Amino acid sequence: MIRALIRLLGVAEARRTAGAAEPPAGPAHASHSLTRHQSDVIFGIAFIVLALLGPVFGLLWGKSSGPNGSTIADAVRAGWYSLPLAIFGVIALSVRIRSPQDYYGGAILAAMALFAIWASSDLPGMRGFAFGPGTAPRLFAYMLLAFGVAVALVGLLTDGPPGGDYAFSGPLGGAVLIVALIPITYYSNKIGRWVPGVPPDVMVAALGAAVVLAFAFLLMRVAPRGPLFITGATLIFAITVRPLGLVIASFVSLVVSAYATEEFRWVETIIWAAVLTLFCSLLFPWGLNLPLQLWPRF
Amino acid sequence: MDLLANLALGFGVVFQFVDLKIAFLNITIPFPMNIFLCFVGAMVGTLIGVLPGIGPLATIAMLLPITFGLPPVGALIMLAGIYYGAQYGGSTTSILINIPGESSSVVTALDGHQMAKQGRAGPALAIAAIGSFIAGTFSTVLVAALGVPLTAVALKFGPAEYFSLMVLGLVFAVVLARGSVLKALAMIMMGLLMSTVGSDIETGQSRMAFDIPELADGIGFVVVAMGVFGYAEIMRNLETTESREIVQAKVTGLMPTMKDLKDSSGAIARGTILGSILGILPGGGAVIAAFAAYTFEKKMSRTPERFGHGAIEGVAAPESANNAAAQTSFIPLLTLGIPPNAVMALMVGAMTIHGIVPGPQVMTKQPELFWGLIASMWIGNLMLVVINLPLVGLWVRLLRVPYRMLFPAILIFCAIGVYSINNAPADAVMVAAFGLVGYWLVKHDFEPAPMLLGFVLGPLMEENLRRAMLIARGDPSTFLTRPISGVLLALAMLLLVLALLPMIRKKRDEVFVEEST
Repeated sequence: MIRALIRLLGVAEARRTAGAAEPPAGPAHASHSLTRHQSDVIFGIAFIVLALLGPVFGLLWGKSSGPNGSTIADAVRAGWYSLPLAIFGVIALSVRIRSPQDYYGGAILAAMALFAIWASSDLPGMRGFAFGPGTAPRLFAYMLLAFGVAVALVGLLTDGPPGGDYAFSGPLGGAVLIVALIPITYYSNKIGRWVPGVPPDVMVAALGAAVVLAFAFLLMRVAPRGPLFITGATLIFAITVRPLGLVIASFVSLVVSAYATEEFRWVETIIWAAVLTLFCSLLFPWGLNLPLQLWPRF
Repeated sequence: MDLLANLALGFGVVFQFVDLKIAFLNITIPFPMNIFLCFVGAMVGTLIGVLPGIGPLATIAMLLPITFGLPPVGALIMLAGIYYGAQYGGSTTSILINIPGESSSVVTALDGHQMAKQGRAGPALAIAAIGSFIAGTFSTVLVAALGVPLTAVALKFGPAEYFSLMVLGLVFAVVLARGSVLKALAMIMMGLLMSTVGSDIETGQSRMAFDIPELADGIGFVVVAMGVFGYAEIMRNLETTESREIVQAKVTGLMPTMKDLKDSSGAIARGTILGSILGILPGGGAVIAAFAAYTFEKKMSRTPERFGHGAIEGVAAPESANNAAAQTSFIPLLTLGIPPNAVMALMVGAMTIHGIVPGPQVMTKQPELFWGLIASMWIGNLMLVVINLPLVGLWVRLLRVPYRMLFPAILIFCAIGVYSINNAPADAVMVAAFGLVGYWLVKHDFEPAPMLLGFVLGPLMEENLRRAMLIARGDPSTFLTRPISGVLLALAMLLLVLALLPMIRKKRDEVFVEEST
């Protein structure tokens, strides 16, 4: 039984080597010229900043600032959850991290767990021997915290590969695009009235698409194209599909998404985007009977 | 002869005709909807099996929204077809041009491509198809035969047993998954945690939703699956520069000789059985089955030195095994309601979308779904053999489609599909966000598959845990004192200890060195 199991485990490993035997993943961009030590300093500081976010946010927007709740108490309460993250930062600044991939991966998971513990802290727990709504989330979150810390410890104590290229810049770059859209949708009522004669929702869509594109091109220097333009194309689709209809939204986001690769070619992209747009506008509304609006409303 | 009667019911469902209205002609014609969907699934499966860079996970995630408009039986028949169809398609390109379209066909390339180089591409393709068909037939019968007894067992399970069974399933998934056990455990917890967002099952209280309306009902399954498997895959693929050789492969003489058939019959039988077993085990599935079958065949062989130089057994065994495993992995899903791998987790998603709660009650309450799906597998396999071999040339030509044209199509399909579910642009934004999460996970060598399993099993686990605790009046020892539950948990513990023991680890490495030589 045990031998069979070992063999199975061996098979799982063999699978990994077979995967690794494929041509190595060369980054499409010039690689960052940060040394390992420099990136440890940056991440160390980032974790300390992250740790301080809790108290700062607590002071600014106290979660439960009821009539009796003082903001200082709120800050302390929120800080209680995020401050442990500073430990990860201090360690990164003082010790050489032997396996950054594991260390920072585990640390971020621990951060997620702490966030969830804070977010579920106001849910009622056990009532007698019955679970409350908050019991299971907290149980899972504490276990995630434990495993996250364990993964980080492994990264601290054993040698491993450096963090993959763009492990942070890729997701962060995409996240910036998403965050950039928040003020536009939040103030959409005001933005919509900027130019008289243009329908408000079209105005918002155009501005949103422009902002997303501008950020994508700006961030291209520091972040990989893939996550930037894939995220960007989806955001543009999301913001334009209602006011401008399926045809325009798909065409624009197809062209933007094609820019995610360095092999981008204008003519081919435009022809292919037109073909796909035609296909989608036949398939979804007619072939599948989905109530999608094809053209702008005006 | 219940089995025959049940299978007859299944075939009846597959051959059902529905009235199809053709709007502009204003006529109604009888249309074999389920056969058609089975065909579509098998074809799409073959297509994505051929194309590297898009696998069954991403495809099923992408097509989930489309299945909303279909009847549940048809939807599941189509999605199942994609999974086993991909196993057929993957072998074609492995053999002809040494590009495995699917990770489950990676080993097939070792000997298959060597055969092709020796001018024996035809027999290799034919043996792969024949082996797959035999394996498909056997595993269809196995699913049908095991369905009834396993369901009977599962119906006797209480909440405590169910919870322990899910723990065992997840542990299996962790142990058999690639890479670090610790990381896989962390991923499961992340999935479980994500599944608790939204309103609480019992009290309806909003949990961790921050008054964001999009989160009030929880994080959408389609959103997570599309993001983590569709989008993240694209983002990662774009980083590897593509160098796809265009090879003109001519296939002549499809028929294997009598000697080929004789040589491979044993391999097909062993591959089928090994694949069937590994498919049932949680965490198993087509990929592991193919690797295990190849290794096993090499160890069994009296002439192991032929392997890697065009041994026909090296094609027959893994191809039979991956197809058998693809099908038997439906057994735990259909009888116990527990998805053994990520593809089956997507099937759970498809079932819940249609209001079907996967579990033992499916067979008793919706026999036409259960048996229809099983019967469709066999018919799908038959279709694949008949369609695929003559179309080999077409599939190979499809490889000329460069990835830069493929990924925008995947992206727009996902975006429109997810938007069409609720007409909510925010859902598309969420997919992009989960794509970034998935990309980050892969960069840190975290496997997203256990996360999806945890995410799917989360609500069920929580519900059973709560119920079991309530029944036991808050005494957690109930999980250990109830015999079945105790045994299941002990097994889970044993597996974990075995996987985590450093000694075993070392042996793992030894085996792994041995395999790679």
